[in-house]
Amino acid sequence: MDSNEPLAGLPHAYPFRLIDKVLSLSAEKGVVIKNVSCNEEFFQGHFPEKPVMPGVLIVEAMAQAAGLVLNYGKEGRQVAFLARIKEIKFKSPVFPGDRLTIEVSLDHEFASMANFTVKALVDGGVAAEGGLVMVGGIEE
Amino acid sequence: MATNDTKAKVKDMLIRRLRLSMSPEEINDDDPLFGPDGGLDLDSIDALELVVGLQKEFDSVIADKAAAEKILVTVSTIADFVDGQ
Repeated sequence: MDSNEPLAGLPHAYPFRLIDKVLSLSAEKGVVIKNVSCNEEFFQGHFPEKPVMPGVLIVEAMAQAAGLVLNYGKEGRQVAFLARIKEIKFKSPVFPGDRLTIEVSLDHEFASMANFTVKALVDGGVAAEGGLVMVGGIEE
Repeated sequence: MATNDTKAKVKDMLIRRLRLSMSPEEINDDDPLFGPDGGLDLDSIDALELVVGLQKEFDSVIADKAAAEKILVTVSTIADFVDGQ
């Protein structure tokens, strides 16, 4: 189906795929895109008069990208769980039509668990940044 | 045997990195760090933080999970590992 092979490793399915495209991926680092359409369901309620992407969904997109990095090169399709959210700062709101570029890098891996530095950018400016801990290697 | 100085530094790292609401005096050298049996009741996410902390602050690298299970037991066992490097 797809010219975007790395995304095939993403265990998430509709409506919870928060990555549209993988720009680069390795066992240490990933850069992915999430296009935030005005048709996103969450904008109906968050908020009716002032649509803003919920911060927790930005974190989820970061976690999905971190999961791809953590399970990169491992056999079969594996799920990674979010184990910890560390000091995420939301620096500017994300609006309909924005394109999120999400950068995740693995700082330290130990016993199937890993620390990540994560960043979400819109037009080169930081929308959110911080750290996550993911636990990987969970069979789907 | 580890020095008291090293033990104090390990306790400081534990409190700071794991954000424990305890003073160093409240942590006994031989209290179990993990599990609910009268210890600090740490978990595997804390273990990752300790592994990173030992590497960054003490230049002490724990190679794998088996080694971690022997080292991350009490303040004394961590301090012995740090001083034995």
